[in-house]
Amino acid sequence: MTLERNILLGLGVLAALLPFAITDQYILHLAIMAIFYAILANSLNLVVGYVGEFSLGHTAFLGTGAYTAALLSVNAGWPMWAAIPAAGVVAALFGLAIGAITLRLQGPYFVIVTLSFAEVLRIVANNWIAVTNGPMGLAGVGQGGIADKSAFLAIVLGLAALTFYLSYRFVYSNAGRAAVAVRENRYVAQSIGVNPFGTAMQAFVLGAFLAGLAGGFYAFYISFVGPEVFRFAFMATIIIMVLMGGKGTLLGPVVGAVIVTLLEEYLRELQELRLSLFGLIVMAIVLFLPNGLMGFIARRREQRGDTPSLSPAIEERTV
Amino acid sequence: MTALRNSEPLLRAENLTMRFGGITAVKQVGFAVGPGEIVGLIGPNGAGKTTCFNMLTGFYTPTEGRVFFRGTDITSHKPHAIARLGLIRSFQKTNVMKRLTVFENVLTGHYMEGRQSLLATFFPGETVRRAEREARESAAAIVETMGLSRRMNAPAHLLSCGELRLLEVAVALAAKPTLLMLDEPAAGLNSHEAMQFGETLKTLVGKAVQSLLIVEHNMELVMGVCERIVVLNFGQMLAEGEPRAILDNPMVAEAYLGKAAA
Repeated sequence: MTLERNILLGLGVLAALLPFAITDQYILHLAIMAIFYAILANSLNLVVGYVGEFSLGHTAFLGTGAYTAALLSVNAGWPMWAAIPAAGVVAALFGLAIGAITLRLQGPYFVIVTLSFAEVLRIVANNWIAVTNGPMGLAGVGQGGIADKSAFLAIVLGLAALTFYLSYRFVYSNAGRAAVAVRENRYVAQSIGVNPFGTAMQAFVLGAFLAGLAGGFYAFYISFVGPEVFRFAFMATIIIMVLMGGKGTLLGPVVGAVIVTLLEEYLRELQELRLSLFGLIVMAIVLFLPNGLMGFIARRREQRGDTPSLSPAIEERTV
Repeated sequence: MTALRNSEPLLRAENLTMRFGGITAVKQVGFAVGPGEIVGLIGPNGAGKTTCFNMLTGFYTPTEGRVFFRGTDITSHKPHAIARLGLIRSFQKTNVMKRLTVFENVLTGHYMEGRQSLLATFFPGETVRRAEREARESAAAIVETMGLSRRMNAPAHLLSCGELRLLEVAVALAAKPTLLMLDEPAAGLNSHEAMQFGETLKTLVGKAVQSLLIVEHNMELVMGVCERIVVLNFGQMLAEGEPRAILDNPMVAEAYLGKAAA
Protein backbone atom coordinates (compact mmCIF):
# COMPACT_ATOMS: atom_id res chain seq x y z
CA MET A 1 0.00 0.00 0.00
CA THR A 2 2.72 2.48 0.94
CA LEU A 3 4.93 1.06 -1.80
CA GLU A 4 2.14 1.44 -4.29
CA ARG A 5 1.60 5.05 -3.26
CA ASN A 6 5.30 5.87 -3.47
CA ILE A 7 5.66 4.37 -6.92
CA LEU A 8 2.65 6.36 -8.10
CA LEU A 9 4.14 9.55 -6.64
CA GLY A 10 7.49 8.76 -8.28
CA LEU A 11 5.85 8.21 -11.67
CA GLY A 12 3.99 11.51 -11.28
CA VAL A 13 7.20 13.40 -10.55
CA LEU A 14 8.91 11.75 -13.52
CA ALA A 15 6.06 12.73 -15.81
CA ALA A 16 6.11 16.29 -14.48
CA LEU A 17 9.82 16.59 -15.26
CA LEU A 18 9.33 15.26 -18.79
CA PRO A 19 8.74 18.61 -20.55
CA PHE A 20 12.04 19.93 -19.15
CA ALA A 21 13.98 17.03 -20.61
CA ILE A 22 12.16 16.48 -23.86
CA THR A 23 10.91 19.01 -26.35
CA ASP A 24 9.93 16.49 -28.99
CA GLN A 25 6.21 17.16 -29.47
CA TYR A 26 5.53 13.60 -30.57
CA ILE A 27 6.93 12.08 -27.40
CA LEU A 28 5.03 14.62 -25.30
CA HIS A 29 1.89 13.60 -27.15
CA LEU A 30 2.53 9.95 -26.28
CA ALA A 31 3.05 10.89 -22.63
CA ILE A 32 -0.21 12.85 -22.58
CA MET A 33 -2.13 9.97 -24.12
CA ALA A 34 -0.56 7.46 -21.73
CA ILE A 35 -1.61 9.55 -18.73
CA PHE A 36 -5.06 10.10 -20.19
CA TYR A 37 -5.44 6.35 -20.61
CA ALA A 38 -4.10 5.75 -17.12
CA ILE A 39 -6.94 7.89 -15.73
CA LEU A 40 -9.49 6.02 -17.82
CA ALA A 41 -8.13 2.57 -17.02
CA ASN A 42 -8.02 3.43 -13.35
CA SER A 43 -11.64 4.60 -13.39
CA LEU A 44 -12.72 1.33 -15.00
CA ASN A 45 -10.60 -0.64 -12.56
CA LEU A 46 -12.58 0.78 -9.62
CA VAL A 47 -15.56 -1.22 -10.87
CA VAL A 48 -13.84 -4.22 -12.48
CA GLY A 49 -11.03 -4.65 -9.98
CA TYR A 50 -12.60 -3.65 -6.70
CA VAL A 51 -16.33 -4.35 -6.96
CA GLY A 52 -15.61 -7.25 -9.31
CA GLU A 53 -18.31 -6.52 -11.86
CA PHE A 54 -17.18 -6.33 -15.46
CA SER A 55 -18.50 -3.17 -17.07
CA LEU A 56 -18.35 -3.03 -20.85
CA GLY A 57 -20.09 0.32 -20.93
CA HIS A 58 -17.46 2.53 -19.46
CA THR A 59 -17.21 4.55 -22.67
CA ALA A 60 -20.68 5.85 -21.79
CA PHE A 61 -19.01 8.05 -19.19
CA LEU A 62 -15.99 8.92 -21.27
CA GLY A 63 -18.37 9.93 -24.04
CA THR A 64 -20.83 11.94 -21.95
CA GLY A 65 -17.86 13.74 -20.40
CA ALA A 66 -16.36 14.51 -23.79
CA TYR A 67 -19.66 15.69 -25.26
CA THR A 68 -20.47 17.79 -22.19
CA ALA A 69 -17.14 19.59 -22.37
CA ALA A 70 -17.40 20.01 -26.13
CA LEU A 71 -20.94 21.39 -26.02
CA LEU A 72 -20.15 23.77 -23.19
CA SER A 73 -17.08 25.01 -25.00
CA VAL A 74 -18.50 25.28 -28.52
CA ASN A 75 -21.98 26.56 -27.68
CA ALA A 76 -21.45 28.47 -24.45
CA GLY A 77 -17.79 29.33 -24.71
CA TRP A 78 -16.89 27.79 -21.35
CA PRO A 79 -13.16 27.72 -20.63
CA MET A 80 -11.38 24.47 -19.96
CA TRP A 81 -11.09 24.89 -16.20
CA ALA A 82 -14.89 25.06 -15.91
CA ALA A 83 -15.87 22.64 -18.66
CA ILE A 84 -13.75 19.67 -17.51
CA PRO A 85 -15.17 19.56 -13.94
CA ALA A 86 -18.65 19.99 -15.42
CA ALA A 87 -17.92 17.01 -17.67
CA GLY A 88 -17.01 14.97 -14.59
CA VAL A 89 -20.20 15.96 -12.78
CA VAL A 90 -22.47 15.19 -15.74
CA ALA A 91 -20.77 11.82 -16.23
CA ALA A 92 -21.22 11.10 -12.50
CA LEU A 93 -24.94 11.86 -12.84
CA PHE A 94 -25.12 9.46 -15.78
CA GLY A 95 -23.24 6.98 -13.60
CA LEU A 96 -25.85 7.37 -10.89
CA ALA A 97 -28.71 6.77 -13.33
CA ILE A 98 -27.09 3.90 -15.22
CA GLY A 99 -25.75 2.35 -12.02
CA ALA A 100 -29.18 2.46 -10.40
CA ILE A 101 -30.38 0.14 -13.16
CA THR A 102 -27.37 -2.01 -14.01
CA LEU A 103 -25.95 -2.64 -10.54
CA ARG A 104 -29.05 -4.64 -9.65
CA LEU A 105 -27.66 -7.22 -12.03
CA GLN A 106 -24.55 -9.33 -11.66
CA GLY A 107 -22.16 -11.31 -13.80
CA PRO A 108 -22.97 -11.67 -17.49
CA TYR A 109 -26.24 -9.74 -17.16
CA PHE A 110 -24.37 -6.71 -15.88
CA VAL A 111 -21.84 -6.99 -18.72
CA ILE A 112 -24.51 -7.04 -21.43
CA VAL A 113 -26.66 -4.26 -20.00
CA THR A 114 -23.75 -1.86 -19.45
CA LEU A 115 -22.62 -2.53 -23.02
CA SER A 116 -26.07 -1.73 -24.34
CA PHE A 117 -26.16 1.59 -22.46
CA ALA A 118 -22.95 2.69 -24.18
CA GLU A 119 -24.38 1.59 -27.54
CA VAL A 120 -27.61 3.52 -26.96
CA LEU A 121 -25.63 6.65 -26.16
CA ARG A 122 -23.58 6.17 -29.32
CA ILE A 123 -26.76 5.94 -31.39
CA VAL A 124 -28.14 9.05 -29.72
CA ALA A 125 -24.90 10.95 -30.42
CA ASN A 126 -25.06 9.78 -34.01
CA ASN A 127 -28.65 10.81 -34.61
CA TRP A 128 -29.45 13.79 -32.43
CA ILE A 129 -27.99 16.07 -35.03
CA ALA A 130 -29.44 19.28 -33.63
CA VAL A 131 -27.30 18.95 -30.51
CA THR A 132 -24.41 16.64 -31.27
CA ASN A 133 -23.98 17.44 -34.94
CA GLY A 134 -24.38 13.74 -35.64
CA PRO A 135 -21.55 11.79 -37.26
CA MET A 136 -19.87 15.10 -38.15
CA GLY A 137 -19.11 15.59 -34.50
CA LEU A 138 -18.25 18.80 -32.69
CA ALA A 139 -15.11 20.47 -33.93
CA GLY A 140 -13.13 23.39 -32.62
CA VAL A 141 -13.42 22.61 -28.92
CA GLY A 142 -11.52 25.15 -26.84
CA GLN A 143 -10.31 27.03 -29.87
CA GLY A 144 -8.14 30.01 -29.13
CA GLY A 145 -7.12 28.46 -25.83
CA ILE A 146 -4.04 26.50 -24.98
CA ALA A 147 -2.25 24.77 -27.81
CA ASP A 148 1.04 24.02 -26.13
CA LYS A 149 1.72 20.33 -25.51
CA SER A 150 3.60 20.85 -22.25
CA ALA A 151 0.64 22.84 -20.90
CA PHE A 152 -1.68 19.96 -21.77
CA LEU A 153 0.75 17.60 -20.08
CA ALA A 154 0.52 19.68 -16.91
CA ILE A 155 -3.29 19.64 -17.06
CA VAL A 156 -3.58 15.91 -17.61
CA LEU A 157 -1.08 15.34 -14.82
CA GLY A 158 -3.20 17.47 -12.52
CA LEU A 159 -6.25 15.36 -13.41
CA ALA A 160 -4.23 12.18 -12.87
CA ALA A 161 -3.11 13.43 -9.46
CA LEU A 162 -6.73 14.07 -8.49
CA THR A 163 -7.77 10.69 -9.91
CA PHE A 164 -5.17 8.73 -8.01
CA TYR A 165 -5.66 10.68 -4.81
CA LEU A 166 -9.39 9.96 -4.82
CA SER A 167 -8.89 6.34 -5.85
CA TYR A 168 -6.19 5.75 -3.26
CA ARG A 169 -8.38 7.18 -0.52
CA PHE A 170 -11.34 5.15 -1.67
CA VAL A 171 -9.56 1.86 -2.14
CA TYR A 172 -7.78 1.92 1.21
CA SER A 173 -10.79 3.10 3.20
CA ASN A 174 -13.55 1.24 4.92
CA ALA A 175 -15.69 1.74 1.81
CA GLY A 176 -12.98 0.25 -0.40
CA ARG A 177 -12.69 -2.77 1.87
CA ALA A 178 -16.45 -3.18 1.63
CA ALA A 179 -16.16 -3.15 -2.16
CA VAL A 180 -13.50 -5.85 -2.02
CA ALA A 181 -15.72 -7.86 0.32
CA VAL A 182 -18.52 -7.69 -2.28
CA ARG A 183 -16.06 -8.81 -4.96
CA GLU A 184 -14.69 -11.68 -2.90
CA ASN A 185 -17.88 -12.96 -1.40
CA ARG A 186 -21.23 -11.28 -1.69
CA TYR A 187 -22.80 -13.36 1.08
CA VAL A 188 -20.11 -12.66 3.62
CA ALA A 189 -20.27 -8.98 2.68
CA GLN A 190 -23.97 -8.85 3.47
CA SER A 191 -23.57 -10.78 6.68
CA ILE A 192 -21.12 -8.17 8.00
CA GLY A 193 -23.54 -5.38 7.16
CA VAL A 194 -22.28 -4.29 3.75
CA ASN A 195 -24.99 -3.18 1.35
CA PRO A 196 -23.65 -4.62 -1.93
CA PHE A 197 -25.72 -2.32 -4.12
CA GLY A 198 -24.79 0.87 -2.27
CA THR A 199 -21.12 -0.03 -2.12
CA ALA A 200 -20.97 -0.92 -5.80
CA MET A 201 -22.76 2.33 -6.56
CA GLN A 202 -20.10 4.42 -4.83
CA ALA A 203 -17.32 2.83 -6.86
CA PHE A 204 -19.37 3.02 -10.05
CA VAL A 205 -20.17 6.72 -9.68
CA LEU A 206 -16.59 7.57 -8.70
CA GLY A 207 -15.42 5.68 -11.79
CA ALA A 208 -17.95 7.53 -13.94
CA PHE A 209 -16.84 10.89 -12.55
CA LEU A 210 -13.18 10.20 -13.28
CA ALA A 211 -13.95 8.86 -16.76
CA GLY A 212 -15.99 12.03 -17.38
CA LEU A 213 -13.02 14.19 -16.38
CA ALA A 214 -10.84 12.22 -18.77
CA GLY A 215 -13.47 12.66 -21.49
CA GLY A 216 -13.58 16.41 -20.88
CA PHE A 217 -9.83 16.59 -21.19
CA TYR A 218 -9.91 14.49 -24.35
CA ALA A 219 -12.39 16.90 -25.95
CA PHE A 220 -10.11 19.88 -25.35
CA TYR A 221 -6.91 18.09 -26.25
CA ILE A 222 -8.09 16.59 -29.53
CA SER A 223 -10.41 19.61 -29.99
CA PHE A 224 -12.90 17.34 -31.72
CA VAL A 225 -15.58 14.98 -30.35
CA GLY A 226 -17.56 12.55 -32.46
CA PRO A 227 -19.74 9.50 -31.75
CA GLU A 228 -16.68 7.24 -31.90
CA VAL A 229 -15.88 8.12 -28.27
CA PHE A 230 -18.70 5.70 -27.42
CA ARG A 231 -17.36 2.97 -29.67
CA PHE A 232 -16.40 -0.44 -28.45
CA ALA A 233 -12.85 -0.09 -29.78
CA PHE A 234 -12.18 2.48 -27.04
CA MET A 235 -13.65 0.12 -24.49
CA ALA A 236 -11.48 -2.76 -25.70
CA THR A 237 -8.34 -0.67 -25.33
CA ILE A 238 -9.21 0.27 -21.76
CA ILE A 239 -10.02 -3.33 -20.85
CA ILE A 240 -6.70 -4.55 -22.25
CA MET A 241 -4.91 -1.97 -20.13
CA VAL A 242 -6.68 -3.00 -16.96
CA LEU A 243 -6.24 -6.73 -17.57
CA MET A 244 -2.64 -6.47 -18.67
CA GLY A 245 -1.56 -4.27 -15.79
CA GLY A 246 -3.54 -6.16 -13.18
CA LYS A 247 -7.05 -5.44 -11.98
CA GLY A 248 -7.58 -4.71 -8.33
CA THR A 249 -4.35 -2.74 -7.93
CA LEU A 250 -3.85 0.99 -8.38
CA LEU A 251 -0.55 0.60 -10.15
CA GLY A 252 -1.68 -2.06 -12.62
CA PRO A 253 -3.85 0.14 -14.87
CA VAL A 254 -1.04 2.73 -15.04
CA VAL A 255 1.46 0.12 -16.18
CA GLY A 256 -1.09 -1.26 -18.63
CA ALA A 257 -1.87 2.21 -19.99
CA VAL A 258 1.77 2.99 -20.66
CA ILE A 259 2.47 -0.36 -22.32
CA VAL A 260 -0.63 -0.36 -24.51
CA THR A 261 -0.22 3.29 -25.56
CA LEU A 262 3.34 2.58 -26.67
CA LEU A 263 2.38 -0.70 -28.35
CA GLU A 264 -0.44 1.00 -30.24
CA GLU A 265 1.99 3.58 -31.56
CA TYR A 266 4.85 1.31 -32.48
CA LEU A 267 2.66 -1.41 -33.97
CA ARG A 268 0.85 1.15 -36.11
CA GLU A 269 2.72 0.04 -39.23
CA LEU A 270 1.21 -3.40 -38.89
CA GLN A 271 -2.27 -1.86 -39.26
CA GLU A 272 -5.03 -4.48 -39.08
CA LEU A 273 -2.61 -7.10 -37.81
CA ARG A 274 -2.17 -4.91 -34.74
CA LEU A 275 -5.67 -5.72 -33.52
CA SER A 276 -5.09 -9.44 -33.96
CA LEU A 277 -1.89 -9.10 -31.98
CA PHE A 278 -3.82 -7.40 -29.18
CA GLY A 279 -6.27 -10.27 -29.23
CA LEU A 280 -3.45 -12.75 -28.80
CA ILE A 281 -1.93 -10.69 -26.01
CA VAL A 282 -5.22 -10.62 -24.12
CA MET A 283 -5.62 -14.37 -24.50
CA ALA A 284 -2.09 -14.94 -23.25
CA ILE A 285 -2.72 -12.71 -20.23
CA VAL A 286 -5.99 -14.38 -19.30
CA LEU A 287 -4.34 -17.80 -19.60
CA PHE A 288 -0.97 -17.17 -18.00
CA LEU A 289 -1.26 -14.00 -15.91
CA PRO A 290 -4.86 -13.88 -14.72
CA ASN A 291 -3.98 -11.11 -12.29
CA GLY A 292 -1.95 -9.13 -14.78
CA LEU A 293 1.61 -7.95 -14.46
CA MET A 294 1.12 -6.60 -10.94
CA GLY A 295 -0.36 -9.89 -9.81
CA PHE A 296 2.62 -11.67 -11.33
CA ILE A 297 5.09 -9.43 -9.51
CA ALA A 298 3.23 -9.81 -6.22
CA ARG A 299 3.32 -13.59 -6.60
CA ARG A 300 7.02 -13.61 -7.33
CA ARG A 301 7.65 -11.57 -4.20
CA GLU A 302 5.55 -13.94 -2.14
CA GLN A 303 7.44 -16.93 -3.48
CA ARG A 304 10.71 -15.30 -2.53
CA GLY A 305 9.35 -15.09 0.99
CA ASP A 306 8.75 -11.36 1.18
CA THR A 307 5.50 -10.18 2.63
CA PRO A 308 3.05 -9.38 -0.14
CA SER A 309 3.65 -5.66 0.11
CA LEU A 310 0.99 -4.59 -2.38
CA SER A 311 -1.54 -5.42 0.26
CA PRO A 312 0.39 -5.48 3.50
CA ALA A 313 -1.79 -6.48 6.35
CA ILE A 314 -0.94 -4.95 9.63
CA GLU A 315 1.47 -2.23 8.69
CA GLU A 316 0.30 1.00 10.29
CA ARG A 317 -1.11 3.22 7.64
CA THR A 318 0.18 6.72 7.24
CA VAL A 319 -2.91 8.67 6.35
CA MET B 1 -39.99 -25.17 27.10
CA THR B 2 -37.30 -24.04 29.47
CA ALA B 3 -38.05 -20.64 30.89
CA LEU B 4 -36.02 -17.87 29.31
CA ARG B 5 -33.75 -15.95 31.60
CA ASN B 6 -35.25 -12.72 30.50
CA SER B 7 -38.84 -11.95 29.64
CA GLU B 8 -37.95 -10.42 26.24
CA PRO B 9 -35.99 -12.85 24.05
CA LEU B 10 -33.30 -11.52 21.72
CA LEU B 11 -34.59 -13.44 18.76
CA ARG B 12 -38.05 -14.82 18.32
CA ALA B 13 -39.30 -16.79 15.33
CA GLU B 14 -43.03 -17.29 15.04
CA ASN B 15 -44.74 -19.77 12.82
CA LEU B 16 -41.98 -19.74 10.19
CA THR B 17 -42.94 -21.47 6.97
CA MET B 18 -40.96 -21.67 3.76
CA ARG B 19 -42.35 -23.17 0.59
CA PHE B 20 -40.27 -23.61 -2.58
CA GLY B 21 -42.85 -24.29 -5.26
CA GLY B 22 -44.72 -27.34 -4.03
CA ILE B 23 -42.16 -28.31 -1.44
CA THR B 24 -42.58 -27.15 2.11
CA ALA B 25 -39.04 -26.96 3.42
CA VAL B 26 -39.96 -25.52 6.80
CA LYS B 27 -43.38 -25.64 8.37
CA GLN B 28 -44.58 -23.53 11.28
CA VAL B 29 -41.36 -23.45 13.24
CA GLY B 30 -41.24 -21.20 16.26
CA PHE B 31 -38.55 -20.77 18.89
CA ALA B 32 -36.70 -18.06 20.75
CA VAL B 33 -33.18 -17.26 21.85
CA GLY B 34 -32.80 -15.34 25.08
CA PRO B 35 -29.95 -13.10 26.21
CA GLY B 36 -26.95 -15.11 27.44
CA GLU B 37 -28.20 -18.35 25.96
CA ILE B 38 -26.44 -20.86 23.74
CA VAL B 39 -29.08 -22.57 21.66
CA GLY B 40 -28.52 -25.47 19.29
CA LEU B 41 -30.60 -26.13 16.21
CA ILE B 42 -30.22 -29.76 15.15
CA GLY B 43 -31.87 -32.26 12.90
CA PRO B 44 -31.08 -34.82 10.21
CA ASN B 45 -29.94 -33.71 6.76
CA GLY B 46 -32.65 -31.81 4.93
CA ALA B 47 -34.56 -31.00 8.10
CA GLY B 48 -34.66 -27.31 7.20
CA LYS B 49 -32.01 -25.94 9.55
CA THR B 50 -30.19 -23.83 6.99
CA THR B 51 -33.48 -22.69 5.49
CA CYS B 52 -34.42 -21.48 8.97
CA PHE B 53 -31.10 -19.65 9.20
CA ASN B 54 -31.68 -17.99 5.87
CA MET B 55 -35.15 -16.85 6.92
CA LEU B 56 -33.91 -15.48 10.22
CA THR B 57 -31.15 -13.45 8.54
CA GLY B 58 -33.10 -12.10 5.58
CA PHE B 59 -31.50 -14.21 2.85
CA TYR B 60 -34.94 -15.80 2.33
CA THR B 61 -38.26 -14.11 2.91
CA PRO B 62 -40.46 -16.60 4.75
CA THR B 63 -43.68 -17.63 3.02
CA GLU B 64 -45.43 -17.28 6.35
CA GLY B 65 -44.48 -16.29 9.84
CA ARG B 66 -42.51 -13.52 11.45
CA VAL B 67 -39.05 -12.95 12.91
CA PHE B 68 -38.42 -10.52 15.75
CA PHE B 69 -35.02 -9.34 16.86
CA ARG B 70 -34.90 -7.34 20.10
CA GLY B 71 -38.61 -6.72 19.68
CA THR B 72 -38.32 -5.36 16.12
CA ASP B 73 -40.02 -7.15 13.29
CA ILE B 74 -37.23 -7.95 10.83
CA THR B 75 -39.17 -10.36 8.63
CA SER B 76 -38.70 -8.65 5.28
CA HIS B 77 -35.51 -6.74 6.03
CA LYS B 78 -32.50 -7.01 3.71
CA PRO B 79 -29.59 -9.16 4.97
CA HIS B 80 -27.25 -6.21 5.46
CA ALA B 81 -29.93 -4.28 7.34
CA ILE B 82 -30.40 -7.23 9.71
CA ALA B 83 -26.63 -7.49 10.19
CA ARG B 84 -26.56 -3.81 11.15
CA LEU B 85 -28.98 -4.57 14.00
CA GLY B 86 -26.44 -6.96 15.50
CA LEU B 87 -27.62 -10.31 14.18
CA ILE B 88 -24.56 -11.78 12.46
CA ARG B 89 -24.34 -15.19 10.84
CA SER B 90 -21.80 -17.51 9.30
CA PHE B 91 -22.39 -19.88 6.42
CA GLN B 92 -22.43 -23.63 6.07
CA LYS B 93 -19.95 -23.79 3.24
CA THR B 94 -16.88 -22.06 4.57
CA ASN B 95 -17.33 -18.53 3.46
CA VAL B 96 -14.36 -16.26 3.89
CA MET B 97 -12.65 -13.89 1.50
CA LYS B 98 -10.14 -16.37 0.17
CA ARG B 99 -7.67 -14.04 -1.47
CA LEU B 100 -7.33 -11.72 1.53
CA THR B 101 -5.11 -12.48 4.48
CA VAL B 102 -6.48 -13.54 7.85
CA PHE B 103 -5.95 -10.04 9.19
CA GLU B 104 -7.58 -8.38 6.18
CA ASN B 105 -10.58 -10.69 6.50
CA VAL B 106 -11.12 -9.72 10.11
CA LEU B 107 -10.41 -6.05 9.41
CA THR B 108 -13.05 -6.09 6.67
CA GLY B 109 -15.43 -7.53 9.23
CA HIS B 110 -15.22 -4.21 11.10
CA TYR B 111 -17.10 -2.51 8.27
CA MET B 112 -20.04 -1.32 10.35
CA GLU B 113 -17.92 0.45 12.93
CA GLY B 114 -16.02 2.33 10.27
CA ARG B 115 -18.89 3.48 8.08
CA GLN B 116 -18.32 7.04 7.01
CA SER B 117 -19.51 9.61 4.51
CA LEU B 118 -17.89 9.81 1.08
CA LEU B 119 -16.42 13.15 2.03
CA ALA B 120 -14.69 11.58 5.02
CA THR B 121 -13.43 8.80 2.75
CA PHE B 122 -11.71 11.27 0.46
CA PHE B 123 -10.60 13.72 3.14
CA PRO B 124 -10.10 11.65 6.27
CA GLY B 125 -9.96 13.64 9.47
CA GLU B 126 -8.88 12.66 12.96
CA THR B 127 -12.12 10.71 13.62
CA VAL B 128 -11.61 8.49 10.59
CA ARG B 129 -7.96 7.93 11.45
CA ARG B 130 -8.86 6.95 15.00
CA ALA B 131 -11.63 4.62 13.81
CA GLU B 132 -9.16 3.01 11.41
CA ARG B 133 -6.59 2.58 14.17
CA GLU B 134 -9.17 1.11 16.52
CA ALA B 135 -10.42 -1.28 13.86
CA ARG B 136 -6.87 -2.50 13.27
CA GLU B 137 -6.25 -3.00 16.97
CA SER B 138 -9.56 -4.76 17.43
CA ALA B 139 -8.89 -6.98 14.41
CA ALA B 140 -5.52 -8.01 15.82
CA ALA B 141 -7.15 -8.75 19.18
CA ILE B 142 -9.89 -10.87 17.62
CA VAL B 143 -7.35 -12.83 15.57
CA GLU B 144 -5.55 -13.54 18.80
CA THR B 145 -8.72 -14.53 20.68
CA MET B 146 -9.47 -17.09 18.00
CA GLY B 147 -5.91 -18.41 18.23
CA LEU B 148 -4.91 -17.45 14.70
CA SER B 149 -2.07 -15.05 15.52
CA ARG B 150 0.47 -17.31 13.89
CA ARG B 151 -1.45 -17.08 10.62
CA MET B 152 -2.13 -13.35 10.80
CA ASN B 153 -0.67 -12.51 7.38
CA ALA B 154 -1.43 -15.77 5.59
CA PRO B 155 -3.90 -15.59 2.71
CA ALA B 156 -7.11 -17.36 3.73
CA HIS B 157 -6.86 -19.92 0.93
CA LEU B 158 -3.74 -21.36 2.58
CA LEU B 159 -5.49 -22.11 5.89
CA SER B 160 -6.40 -25.59 7.07
CA CYS B 161 -10.02 -26.54 7.44
CA GLY B 162 -9.98 -25.99 11.19
CA GLU B 163 -8.32 -22.61 10.84
CA LEU B 164 -10.89 -21.57 8.25
CA ARG B 165 -13.65 -22.36 10.71
CA LEU B 166 -11.98 -20.19 13.30
CA LEU B 167 -11.47 -17.40 10.79
CA GLU B 168 -15.11 -17.51 9.85
CA VAL B 169 -16.10 -16.96 13.46
CA ALA B 170 -13.45 -14.23 13.74
CA VAL B 171 -14.94 -12.32 10.79
CA ALA B 172 -18.40 -12.61 12.33
CA LEU B 173 -17.06 -11.42 15.68
CA ALA B 174 -15.47 -8.41 13.99
CA ALA B 175 -18.97 -7.23 13.14
CA LYS B 176 -19.62 -7.07 16.92
CA PRO B 177 -22.74 -9.23 16.98
CA THR B 178 -25.32 -9.25 19.72
CA LEU B 179 -26.52 -12.64 18.57
CA LEU B 180 -24.11 -14.80 16.61
CA MET B 181 -25.57 -17.53 14.42
CA LEU B 182 -23.17 -20.24 13.26
CA ASP B 183 -24.15 -22.70 10.54
CA GLU B 184 -22.23 -25.95 11.06
CA PRO B 185 -19.14 -24.25 12.43
CA ALA B 186 -17.39 -27.53 13.23
CA ALA B 187 -17.97 -29.32 9.92
CA GLY B 188 -14.75 -30.96 8.82
CA LEU B 189 -13.12 -30.86 12.24
CA ASN B 190 -12.13 -34.05 14.02
CA SER B 191 -13.73 -34.68 17.39
CA HIS B 192 -10.79 -33.33 19.35
CA GLU B 193 -10.68 -30.14 17.31
CA ALA B 194 -14.45 -29.82 17.55
CA MET B 195 -14.34 -29.98 21.38
CA GLN B 196 -11.61 -27.34 21.46
CA PHE B 197 -13.67 -25.24 19.13
CA GLY B 198 -16.65 -25.68 21.44
CA GLU B 199 -14.62 -24.42 24.39
CA THR B 200 -13.60 -21.34 22.40
CA LEU B 201 -17.25 -20.68 21.56
CA LYS B 202 -18.30 -20.96 25.20
CA THR B 203 -15.78 -18.32 26.24
CA LEU B 204 -17.30 -15.87 23.76
CA VAL B 205 -20.77 -15.78 25.26
CA GLY B 206 -21.26 -12.95 27.69
CA LYS B 207 -18.12 -11.21 26.43
CA ALA B 208 -17.92 -10.87 22.66
CA VAL B 209 -21.52 -11.84 22.02
CA GLN B 210 -24.69 -11.99 24.09
CA SER B 211 -26.06 -15.22 22.70
CA LEU B 212 -25.24 -17.98 20.28
CA LEU B 213 -27.44 -19.99 17.95
CA ILE B 214 -25.65 -22.99 16.44
CA VAL B 215 -26.61 -25.41 13.73
CA GLU B 216 -24.38 -28.44 14.11
CA HIS B 217 -24.16 -32.12 13.33
CA ASN B 218 -21.43 -32.93 15.80
CA MET B 219 -23.53 -34.17 18.75
CA GLU B 220 -20.66 -34.11 21.20
CA LEU B 221 -20.13 -30.43 20.48
CA VAL B 222 -23.83 -29.56 20.60
CA MET B 223 -24.40 -31.45 23.85
CA GLY B 224 -21.28 -29.98 25.39
CA VAL B 225 -21.91 -26.40 24.48
CA CYS B 226 -25.64 -25.76 24.14
CA GLU B 227 -27.97 -25.07 27.03
CA ARG B 228 -31.09 -25.62 25.03
CA ILE B 229 -31.70 -27.52 21.84
CA VAL B 230 -34.34 -27.24 19.15
CA VAL B 231 -34.79 -30.34 16.97
CA LEU B 232 -36.16 -30.12 13.45
CA ASN B 233 -37.24 -33.03 11.31
CA PHE B 234 -38.71 -32.76 7.80
CA GLY B 235 -39.14 -29.05 8.30
CA GLN B 236 -41.12 -29.32 11.49
CA MET B 237 -40.29 -28.90 15.16
CA LEU B 238 -39.76 -32.29 16.70
CA ALA B 239 -38.62 -31.38 20.18
CA GLU B 240 -37.16 -28.62 22.28
CA GLY B 241 -35.39 -28.84 25.60
CA GLU B 242 -32.19 -29.29 27.56
CA PRO B 243 -29.48 -31.52 26.06
CA ARG B 244 -30.20 -34.39 28.47
CA ALA B 245 -33.88 -34.40 27.69
CA ILE B 246 -33.19 -34.29 23.97
CA LEU B 247 -30.82 -37.26 24.21
CA ASP B 248 -33.44 -39.26 26.05
CA ASN B 249 -36.24 -38.27 23.72
CA PRO B 250 -37.30 -41.39 21.78
CA MET B 251 -38.64 -39.35 18.88
CA VAL B 252 -35.26 -37.67 18.38
CA ALA B 253 -33.47 -41.01 18.47
CA GLU B 254 -35.93 -42.30 15.90
CA ALA B 255 -35.40 -39.35 13.59
CA TYR B 256 -31.66 -39.81 13.70
CA LEU B 257 -31.31 -43.58 13.93
CA GLY B 258 -34.57 -44.93 12.59
CA LYS B 259 -37.21 -46.93 14.48
CA ALA B 260 -35.88 -49.30 17.10
CA ALA B 261 -36.50 -52.90 16.14
CA ALA B 262 -38.68 -53.71 19.08
